[in-house]
Amino acid sequence: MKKVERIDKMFEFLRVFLGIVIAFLICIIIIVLMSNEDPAGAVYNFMIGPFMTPRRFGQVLAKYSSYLLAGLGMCFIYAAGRFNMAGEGCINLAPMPVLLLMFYTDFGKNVMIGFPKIVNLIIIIALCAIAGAIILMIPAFGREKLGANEMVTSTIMNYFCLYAALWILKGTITDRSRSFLGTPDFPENMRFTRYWNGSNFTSGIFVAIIGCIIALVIFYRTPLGAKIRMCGDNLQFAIYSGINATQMMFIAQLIGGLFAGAAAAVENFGIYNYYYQSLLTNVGMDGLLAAVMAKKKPIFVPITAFIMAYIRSAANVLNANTNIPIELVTMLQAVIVLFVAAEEFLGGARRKAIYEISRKEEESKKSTEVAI
Amino acid sequence: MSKELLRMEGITKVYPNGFMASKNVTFSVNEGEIHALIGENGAGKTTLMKILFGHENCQEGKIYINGEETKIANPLDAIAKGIGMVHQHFMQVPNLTVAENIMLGIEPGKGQIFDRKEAIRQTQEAAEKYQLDVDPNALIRDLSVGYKQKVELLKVLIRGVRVLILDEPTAVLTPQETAELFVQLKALRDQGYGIIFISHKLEEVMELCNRCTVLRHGQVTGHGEIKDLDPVKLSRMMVEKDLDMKIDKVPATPTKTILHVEKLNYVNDIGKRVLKDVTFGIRAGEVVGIAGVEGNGQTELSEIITGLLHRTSGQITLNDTETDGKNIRQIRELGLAHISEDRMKYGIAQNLSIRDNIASIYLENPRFKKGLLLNTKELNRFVDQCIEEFEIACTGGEEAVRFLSGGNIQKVIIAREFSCGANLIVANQPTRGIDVGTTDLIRRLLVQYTREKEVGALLISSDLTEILEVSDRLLVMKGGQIVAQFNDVKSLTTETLGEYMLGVKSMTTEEMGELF
Amino acid sequence: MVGMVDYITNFIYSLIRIATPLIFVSLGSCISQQAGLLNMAAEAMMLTSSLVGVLVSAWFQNVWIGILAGMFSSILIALFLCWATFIMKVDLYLMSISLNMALVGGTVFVVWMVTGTKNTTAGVIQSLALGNVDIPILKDIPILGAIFSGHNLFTYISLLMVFVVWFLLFRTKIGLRIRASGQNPAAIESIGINPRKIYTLAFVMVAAIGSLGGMYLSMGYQTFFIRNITANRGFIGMAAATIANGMPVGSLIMSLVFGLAYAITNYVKPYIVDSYFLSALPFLMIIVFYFIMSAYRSQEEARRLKAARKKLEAEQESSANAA
Repeated sequence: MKKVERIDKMFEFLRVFLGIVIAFLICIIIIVLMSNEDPAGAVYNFMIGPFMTPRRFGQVLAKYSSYLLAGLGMCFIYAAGRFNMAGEGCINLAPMPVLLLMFYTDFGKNVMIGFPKIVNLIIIIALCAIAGAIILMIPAFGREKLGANEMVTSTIMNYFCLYAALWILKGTITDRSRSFLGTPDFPENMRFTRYWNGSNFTSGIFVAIIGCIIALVIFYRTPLGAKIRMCGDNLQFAIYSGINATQMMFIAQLIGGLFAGAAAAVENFGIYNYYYQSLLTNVGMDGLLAAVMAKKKPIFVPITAFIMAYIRSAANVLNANTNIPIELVTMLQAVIVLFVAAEEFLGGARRKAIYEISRKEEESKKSTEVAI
Repeated sequence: MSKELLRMEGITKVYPNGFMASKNVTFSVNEGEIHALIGENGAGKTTLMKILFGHENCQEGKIYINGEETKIANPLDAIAKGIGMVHQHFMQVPNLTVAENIMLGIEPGKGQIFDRKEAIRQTQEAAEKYQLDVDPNALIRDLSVGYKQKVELLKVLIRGVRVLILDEPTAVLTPQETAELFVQLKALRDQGYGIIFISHKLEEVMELCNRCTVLRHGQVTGHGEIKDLDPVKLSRMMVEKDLDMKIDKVPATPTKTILHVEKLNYVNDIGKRVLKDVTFGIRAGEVVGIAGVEGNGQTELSEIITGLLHRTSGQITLNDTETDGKNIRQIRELGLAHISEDRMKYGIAQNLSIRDNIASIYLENPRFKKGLLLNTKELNRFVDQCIEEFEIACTGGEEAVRFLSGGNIQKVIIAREFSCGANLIVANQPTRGIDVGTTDLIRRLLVQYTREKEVGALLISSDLTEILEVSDRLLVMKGGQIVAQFNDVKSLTTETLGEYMLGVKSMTTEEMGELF
Repeated sequence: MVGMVDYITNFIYSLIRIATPLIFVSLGSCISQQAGLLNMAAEAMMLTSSLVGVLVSAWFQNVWIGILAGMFSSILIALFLCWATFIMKVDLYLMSISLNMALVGGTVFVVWMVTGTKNTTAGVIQSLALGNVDIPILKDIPILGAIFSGHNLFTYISLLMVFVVWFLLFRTKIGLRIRASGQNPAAIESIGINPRKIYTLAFVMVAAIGSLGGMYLSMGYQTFFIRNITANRGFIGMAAATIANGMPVGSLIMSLVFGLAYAITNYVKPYIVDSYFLSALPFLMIIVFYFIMSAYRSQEEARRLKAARKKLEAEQESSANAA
């Protein structure tokens, strides 16, 4: 029995690993073909570039903070067997209450500015998380109470969030001295501290680390996490065991929303000096991919989120230093999904290996029987 | 003698896991006869028909159609060779009309165009020809079950088959619909069709069929002309001979009533009355067995008691508390443990660890909580204790359940349910498809818990040996009602029990006595 | 007064123009909806076809070859999706979403390879487009002529498509099989047909029709490809088909309703400040519509079941009484 389990786990790992390796190989081949001047330099930039300067590595870590939080949130939703993708729109819309408070109310302009930084950051994270949870509850409500497919609702929600955020921004708090839509600069005590000489690496990483610990504790160490896992794996079993499945679905998506909201806080108040999102950021989607790569196990999200952050940053480096456009990387992601999520990728080899093992076990059993 | 349409000779089928589903079975259908294939669940009827319909292949044996040896590759091939099957669960599309359903796959019309009028015309024509009165324009979803069955029959007939397989066609029908179906089947028989009628309702077989073949454990245990047989003989062929009692048990000394069910009724989604005024009780210290041919309401009864299904009317009190309006967790908290008949669907979450599977009903238990967190240490200790006590063969509590064998999976369920301190254990088919060792363990535990821990147990099983061996009191269910009660199980034989189950005999209320 | 009438006719004209791509996508999505699957990859199909159409038409200097190539490229995407889903066993929707992401970037990458710029093919590639068509007789009728005549050929094709898709779904053999496999794949399997084949066929049709929507954008509405040209019309079309429950005429109506929201946005934008609210409006409308329809449908099903049960119970009782 033990051997079969080991083989099974090995193939799970191999699939993810090979998927990433193959995707990278494809990417490198394309880079080599595309860059007429200096293929070696381009590949170098892509592979090692993100680690070369503190600035670039700061970029990786900054993305990592957001992806880690978003990925953990998506992991809860995905593990409960739902496909609520509104976490993407969350990144744009969830900071709005905070921004309004910050720039539109007297409390923000006069009182908050005098608070210690830590207090402000807690307010920011809390408000963003709550807003995120509310946003994700809409598709969740549609699904659990009305039977509306949460995938459709949440996809549409994302665009609604984008434009609603812009609407609020334009109507209220935009800085008219800018040539484009954007808030005034965040006051220094209302944003995450930049490290490494003003790189994008900020104290948001601590939020991500704390969030990660909370998520892992909830998922693996509380009755709630256990219930969510059970609902996701076998809903009938959860119901039979006396678990309120509808409630669990709501809670899983609520947690997902809280984390997506926290990711929004870390993304917007960390990487940028002021809010000016005019497009969807892809943080939510990359978070979903991190959750998919982690195979619904939050314990692996710290690794997969790092891979996603690395890929994104590598593309940025490539974009800045060669003429090859950043868009190449989005194709890389599709290849990764194809291999990581494909049950049949290496399926034949896996079945063969398991068959061999059980055959050998049978034989050894027989031979011992004969010996007896 | 009329012409032989179909002959299966020496069919032997062994599944990859080593289970022998058919052993040298020989079976034939003549023109213009209804041939009953009877036997208990798991006797090999379904396997035999799957082989005939091309769903599965067999290791040994030959199939002759009209005297010629053939191989049947898949269902399409089977239909082309004149064999049609009416599945127990109808293969119909609810939002399409009757005509569209019937013509699906053999649509009339030029090229890709579907000729509706022609489809309707052909349907009507066939309906008249076979005297199956259907409205081609009705939507399937608006039809009753009996009507749907007519459509299903027509769908098979219109494909020009000569041999019809009907898999327990009356299981979902009301008595009136059954009567109507029989008229239609007799008409088909008179037109020269060969019909294979799979059933375990003896009265129906006696009324409808010409010949019959009885299967038990994959072997033919009897066949012959119906006119030479009677229900008693048939039921003896179906149920096995008494085996030696293996469990030593002290006589039960029942005390207070734990579960009381009063006038329980259940009408299912399609309007069939599955339970009719069921009344009985279970006392601490006894195992109450419910015997009966499957599909006579036992599953619904256990699901209603355990809260998975909602009753139509009636009272259930568990430890003096009415369970109506309570959710599953609350019912479990009243003192219920439940071993479901569908292990893989309800009993476990395959991809989760043994630990999680055992923990599923203990998540709100203060013993395993430390503030908001799970008390993992305590939980792990408990799981290890379970693994040891119930001899679960595994590498440890973290192993995913799907890597376990069937018997060990059942042990995980047993460990979870037996350790929760409930004083009512509902066990529905607890040993089906499970190795001898685990089976023995489960039976012994049921007896042991009732004797030592003031527990009452409800055992539903189609394994007659098991039910006779373990039960202290035995109820028989038929047609959603309790038709017999035996207080002295020891002296009961499988033959007698089989006769009650199959409706050859029944008891009056007075004969049954007090049901507690 | 005359000005007002002109204004309104102009508005309706532009409404139809704006709704055209939505009509194509939602009609395509109808087919997958009837097969019981969501067409989440509509964006990917549209993007691919709109770029390939532009490139090939420029290459061959023949608009029809361009359109055929665009359609073919979209079908390839659908076939890849089906291969990944039904053979490699990737989750259909996961693959669809990543395909969308991949092709937003992928098309830009190709544009960069061909033109050296990353935004648009305008001014670099001499691509062809379908022109506007005046309809004889109709064009001379006042008001109606102004509304319905002089549209792009794609627009007329899209209106024709409503009938084609309806016919395909409800009057052909394959349509019957698609609807059957959407509702009960087991029924299809029991008569010896592999439902996955039906799904694949359905997706090929989805891709073919959806591709026209993509190509309308780059070869009709505009005459060049620009990055993310579809601007989530694929999702809106898919949602329209979902709300209409896979009915072609319903999809047409929903497409026009969402097109209306866009048209209003375009028309009012110059006059008001809150143009972003109007941009958000179509999406808000979709969610509200979808929730209302879902609520209605879930209750309808419950009502139907209840009525059926009552009827059967009554029948049983009466027959029991008679016996």
